[in-house]
Amino acid sequence: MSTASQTEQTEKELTQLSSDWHQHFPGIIRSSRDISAFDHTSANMESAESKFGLYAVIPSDGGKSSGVVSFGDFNLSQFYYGSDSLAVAFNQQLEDIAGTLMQASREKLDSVQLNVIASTVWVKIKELKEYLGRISDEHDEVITSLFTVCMEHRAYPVNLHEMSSLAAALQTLRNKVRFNETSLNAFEDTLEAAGFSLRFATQNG
Amino acid sequence: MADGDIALLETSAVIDLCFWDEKTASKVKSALEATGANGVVTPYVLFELARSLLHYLILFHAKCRDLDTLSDVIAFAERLFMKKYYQGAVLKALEVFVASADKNFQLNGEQQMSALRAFLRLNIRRGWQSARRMNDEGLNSILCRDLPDPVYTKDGAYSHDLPKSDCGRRDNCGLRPYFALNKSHFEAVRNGLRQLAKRDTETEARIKSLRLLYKVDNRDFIADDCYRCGDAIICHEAIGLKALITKNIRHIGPIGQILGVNVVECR
Repeated sequence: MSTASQTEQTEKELTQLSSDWHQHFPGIIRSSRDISAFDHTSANMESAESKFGLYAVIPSDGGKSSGVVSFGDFNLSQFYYGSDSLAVAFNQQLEDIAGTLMQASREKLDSVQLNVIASTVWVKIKELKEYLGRISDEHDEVITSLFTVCMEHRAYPVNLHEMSSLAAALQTLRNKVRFNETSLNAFEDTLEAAGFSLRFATQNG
Repeated sequence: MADGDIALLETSAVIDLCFWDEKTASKVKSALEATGANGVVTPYVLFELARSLLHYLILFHAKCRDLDTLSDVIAFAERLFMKKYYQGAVLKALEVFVASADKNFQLNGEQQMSALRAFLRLNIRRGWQSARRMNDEGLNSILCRDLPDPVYTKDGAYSHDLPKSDCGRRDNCGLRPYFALNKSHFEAVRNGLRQLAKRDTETEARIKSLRLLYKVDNRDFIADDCYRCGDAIICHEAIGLKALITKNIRHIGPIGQILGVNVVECR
């Protein structure tokens, strides 16, 4: 096959891939390393809500670009879906906690069952310590806020309202790989509105 | 809201209500409940908060970037003995953090430092926001300037645009006319303070600065004179209100007595 027809074939395949993109997605980009051009460590804080376009550039044999195929626009969490990025793993852990809480809220469990689930949630929150200092200062703030809630409530029986409120707060962080001040405020305001204190409870307090 | 339904929170009370831990905040809440009034702050109080505790927390948060362990932080705090207000803020932050941070989370040294920085971040952002929410723009006869929120920079530190260099220029605020209008009150405060048997260095400085501010009107002044008279100015702002809530009864108490302000101590 000549180079020209090879390029044409590649173009056709990419065009097909592009049109089927939403069916192929999620999971095509398995690792953050696959997106070599995108440096997530230097992305600014506003990028959590930003859209990113993904394009394929098809070079001709002379090295000059002969065509560009667009795959579409995505936000950061879609980009990283299924990847091994720490931020995504953290996000999935939050989703997991929120899922547990939501399920408990839906199933109308009795107070004993509810508190068994609550203790699972506290353990999962405790496990978030592994992410401290490893993603961003904003992530550390979310973790510390959750620790504060956990410290204050884990020694007491929880009720359904508290669990669904915590789930609602976690929902505000959904699909966000990076947190900005707006998303942090939304998360913390939701917690405080539900009666959770973000103040540290000292031993005498 | 009528003035009789309002209690003004002095800076030390705002700090305890909006920053730190629940136990500290509950003392101010109890004092407020006892008065049955709504707590407000004035722009002057906010400015004092911004140039004191908030400023120190921002400095401390930035400093924590190059400290590796809590032992380093404690050693740093010890060396601040020449800056007693900064040291006080650092020690209080450490006291609250250390008293509550462990609770079986078993953080290693690196995680503790990240948690400390996050704790300071929360206090800087949420504390300032809570204080601002209580701001009563209507109580600003001094025309003290409005302040922006601290901004988090890409360097991982907060930056707060505090226009202190504009303080002292008579056109930038209404302090000069305020003192001219209420000269007799401030004269009475000064004379009353001079009668006190025990006067600390802060009171001595206040006596001197009060005179400088009301003696000559319509001129630029030294910003520090305004800052030194903070307690007297805040107390004066509370005239006609239901109460002035403070933790700093030692300094506010005598001034409140002279001005006929109902000073309530939170303890």
